[in-house]
Amino acid sequence: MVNTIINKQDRKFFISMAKFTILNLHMLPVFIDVPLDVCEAKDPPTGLYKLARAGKIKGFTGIDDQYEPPYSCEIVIQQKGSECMSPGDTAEIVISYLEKNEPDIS
Amino acid sequence: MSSVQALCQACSCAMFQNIECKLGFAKFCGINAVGLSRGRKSLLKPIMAKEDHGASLIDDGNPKCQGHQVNKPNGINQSTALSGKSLTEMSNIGNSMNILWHECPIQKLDRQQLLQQKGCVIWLTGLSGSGKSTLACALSRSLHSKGKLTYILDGDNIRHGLNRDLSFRAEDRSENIRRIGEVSKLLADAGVICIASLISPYRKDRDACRALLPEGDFIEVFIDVPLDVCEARDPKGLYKLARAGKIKGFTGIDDPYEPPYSCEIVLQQKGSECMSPSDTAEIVISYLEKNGYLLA
Repeated sequence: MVNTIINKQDRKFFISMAKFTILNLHMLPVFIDVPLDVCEAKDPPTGLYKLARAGKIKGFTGIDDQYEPPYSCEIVIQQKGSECMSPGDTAEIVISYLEKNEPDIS
Repeated sequence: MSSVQALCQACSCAMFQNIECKLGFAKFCGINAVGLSRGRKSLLKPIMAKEDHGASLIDDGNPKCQGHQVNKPNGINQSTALSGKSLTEMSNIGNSMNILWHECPIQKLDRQQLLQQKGCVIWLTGLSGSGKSTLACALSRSLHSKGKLTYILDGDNIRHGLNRDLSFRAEDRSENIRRIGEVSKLLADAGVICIASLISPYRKDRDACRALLPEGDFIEVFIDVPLDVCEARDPKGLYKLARAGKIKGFTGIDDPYEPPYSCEIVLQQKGSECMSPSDTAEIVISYLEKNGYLLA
């Protein structure tokens, strides 16, 4: 499980590297599509958005450094408006995908 | 036809209302396809609130607004991070600022129970040509046949990817070992029996890797083969090049190897008689069994 902010260029590099150096690695991008204002409203638990807005942190993703949404990825978990799925529900979405796409291990 | 219906049924499930799946979803569900098209357009636009560009640095203006300043990793932060507990304050570790250790619900003990083995690092150290890679492979094969999950971190292989920015200067060799130590710590924490195979000639570097792991999780194996035997083997032709002066700073020739003062296992070759790889692997496996690594 890779849990990080990955921009387009980084992802291309990651995928190309994975293809050539690790056999049978399955990279499964999951885009957690939550609007910036919702993320900023949460600002948990580090208060970094607040610091970035105040100019104390520069180059903060979403504020003064851009996040590039994926052109195509296997799963998009989208939050519409203020309604929020539970972590258990979103995890089940990913697990369902994994179960349906079980690779052939023989 | 039935597969199409299955997909439609899946799409109608409440759980999938907010999902875009790369499974031909858009091809079979016309109505949803329209929605996805609109969604996709909004997905393409980069997200940024301000148009100002700048370096990713803390503004020095107001120290009170900064996270807890740590100039170097200290005992408190390191031990807290190792135990997986949440820090109440953000830390600045190394060159990273404003990072917070996130505790995971599944811990090391859970993984070890699942795998029925104890995660650890078996650190094979010895001269080039002493048989580290051969032992690593024999050990991995033997443990695999016992149903144990292993992973080999070969010093040369790691330079193909993770450490390809490193040269063989003294600082880069230390950095190579440090990074392999950090990766081996992650693998051990995952419950894997990690077999690190690299010369690692300096005690300081090996001791630094040992310090990364809890007591007992680092098993140092010294493959004690005389230099002349290693040089006679010369499986990679490097001794020949070093003797000819074409490689400088070669361990054993014009750069020293520091044998361990105390390590868990010494595999000593006396004279010219040579143990087989499987025999040496069995010595290590006996150690693992006696000390409870193979049954969590």
